[in-house]
Amino acid sequence: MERLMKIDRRIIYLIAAALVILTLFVPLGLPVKISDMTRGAYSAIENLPDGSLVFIAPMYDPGARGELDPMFVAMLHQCAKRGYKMLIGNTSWTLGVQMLHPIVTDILGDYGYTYGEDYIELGSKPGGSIWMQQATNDLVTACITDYNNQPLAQFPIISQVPKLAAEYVDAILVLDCGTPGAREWLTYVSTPTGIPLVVGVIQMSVPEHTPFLDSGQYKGLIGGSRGAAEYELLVGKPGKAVKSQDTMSVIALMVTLFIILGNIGYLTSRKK
Amino acid sequence: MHLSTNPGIWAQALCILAVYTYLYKDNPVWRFAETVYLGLATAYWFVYMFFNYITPAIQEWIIKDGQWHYIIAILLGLMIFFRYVPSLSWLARYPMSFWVGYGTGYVLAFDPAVWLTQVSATFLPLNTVKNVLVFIGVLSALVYFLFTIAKENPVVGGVAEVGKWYIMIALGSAFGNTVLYRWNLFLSRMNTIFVQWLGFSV
Amino acid sequence: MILTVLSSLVVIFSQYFYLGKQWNLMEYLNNWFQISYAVALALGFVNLTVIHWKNIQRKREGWVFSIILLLTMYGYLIVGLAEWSFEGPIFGWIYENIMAALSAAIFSMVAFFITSAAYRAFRVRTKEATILLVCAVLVMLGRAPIGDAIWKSWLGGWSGFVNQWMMGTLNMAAMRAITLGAYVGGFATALRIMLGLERAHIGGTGTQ
Repeated sequence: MERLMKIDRRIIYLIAAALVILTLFVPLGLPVKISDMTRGAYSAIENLPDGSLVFIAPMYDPGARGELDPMFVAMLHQCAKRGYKMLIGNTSWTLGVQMLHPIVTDILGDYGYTYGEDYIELGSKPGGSIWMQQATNDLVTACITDYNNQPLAQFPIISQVPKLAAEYVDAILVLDCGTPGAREWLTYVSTPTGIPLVVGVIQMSVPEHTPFLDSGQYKGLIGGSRGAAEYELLVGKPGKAVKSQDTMSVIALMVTLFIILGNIGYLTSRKK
Repeated sequence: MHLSTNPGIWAQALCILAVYTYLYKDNPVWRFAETVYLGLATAYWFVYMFFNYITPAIQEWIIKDGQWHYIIAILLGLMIFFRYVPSLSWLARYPMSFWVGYGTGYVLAFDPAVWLTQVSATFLPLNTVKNVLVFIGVLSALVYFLFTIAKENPVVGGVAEVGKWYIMIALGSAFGNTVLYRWNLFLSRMNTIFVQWLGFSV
Repeated sequence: MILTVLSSLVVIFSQYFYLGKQWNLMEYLNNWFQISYAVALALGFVNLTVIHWKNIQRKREGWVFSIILLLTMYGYLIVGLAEWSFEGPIFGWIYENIMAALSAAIFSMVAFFITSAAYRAFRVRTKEATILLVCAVLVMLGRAPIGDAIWKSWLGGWSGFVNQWMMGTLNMAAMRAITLGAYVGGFATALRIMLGLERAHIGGTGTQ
């Protein structure tokens, strides 16, 4: 038992990595039960009035794609199925929007969406919370151009949204992995204007965002890869997040076993 | 297995492998990767700021719109570099004062609306188990963080003890969520290596 | 001190008073902040150059890596300026395929350290540590499908119990307290700065 306690940490790294890589090739196929939290977020988006206009803000960088890309894809599918008009853009997360452009074009193209009329990609604007504030006064001045540097004023959809306000925008859907993120959207846009906010966050951030869901400041919260998997199932487009749940199961079991084994060794050596 | 021919994927895979060599032990390959990352990150943010703030300010606001007062803003920013001149380092306090004051104003103007809603969400009717647990939890955890009140008082000490349990539960949840998130990051890297680079189908 | 108080008062005045909104002072102040801050960000650049140049001159340990750092930093800067765009093809390629990959790989290494710590260091020495570890295990298994496979229906299943009672009630209460503490602390500090009681940012002797 004592030898087991003094095992080289690199052996632990190897075992852990091997188990994770194994699940890539050998799926377990465990069913994913849908939680009330994700169902609430799905309903918050689904129950918007027909013809709604939503602002989708993918506020993340390439590092968080694993968890937030599936959410973004499912969100696009859900909004397109409901026929919502969409403004897609973010502030400060520069590469996020560039990465996502091919995804947006593919998915919305399949639903027959026309750029400039049914949706528009604003690109990534500098300024963080300052930009958010400016957008609540005048969206065209805050953005000036779309993601392709074309003047915004020429697009018909922009005439329907002179600024981010409750009378023009029916919901803001934020995918958050840091600052600026959902909290800034809540503080500088949602609270002053009253626009409902639905948020998707990385697994690590779920605990810090639950108070805002409980108080009603968020109308919905999708949490981490589990939330993304549940959301994919609700939208009817199971994808990467659902596939990653087998790995999450193996990881959870593995770390639990490590904790238990480590403490068994500790308690036995303490008795001696 | 079908090796990728995309140089971008090769670059990503080699970067990932270089970083993971640290798991064996500290080595020059890892240090090279770490150094490159630091250099790229520093240059990236400067270029980002240059093209998104400084260039539009000079070209659009100052030269095109004639708002010459923004030149003072540029000079204010440049004053921070006086910290390298010992006799004139007091000049570096001015931009710092402006930024701190600006940030202070933002906190005072915007934050109360958010946290006051949190306060009102805590004071709910104590007619369900959940409401009682939330009410007790928030108050006791806040008492735990009051370091200026003596915990020797049995009432304060008892309430703070309950708060401590709640905080331990929160820390345990945070740990559990962090473990899953970090391993998900690793899974994404393995996807890049095995699926995109080596071409295995999963 | 006057500059600090004036700039914070302008922000508050612009947000809460009709005249402030009419005069649109916020837009000017925001632009001033962004421009001055952007210019000052070169400080990091200058600082790194000074430190690592000294390393190279004095041939301190790791001076070769200092050369690599300066070459990478200035090389990437030159690429960005040469393309005269933040979204140039080469600049973007380097960001996506090298910088983002390095960043994600570095952050993902924490997973290994956490797992190793779980085995070698996390011990149930005290009641508090026991609670922490038990909750961590409950949450981990609850957020993965394996938890529901083990414990299906009582109290909503493992994930239902974790989501509703642990994350949605107990954890939420503690996080709300922590969030409130942070907000109130930030508010109090901001008020102290505005009232001139806090002067550390301008080289004062600290608090009064």
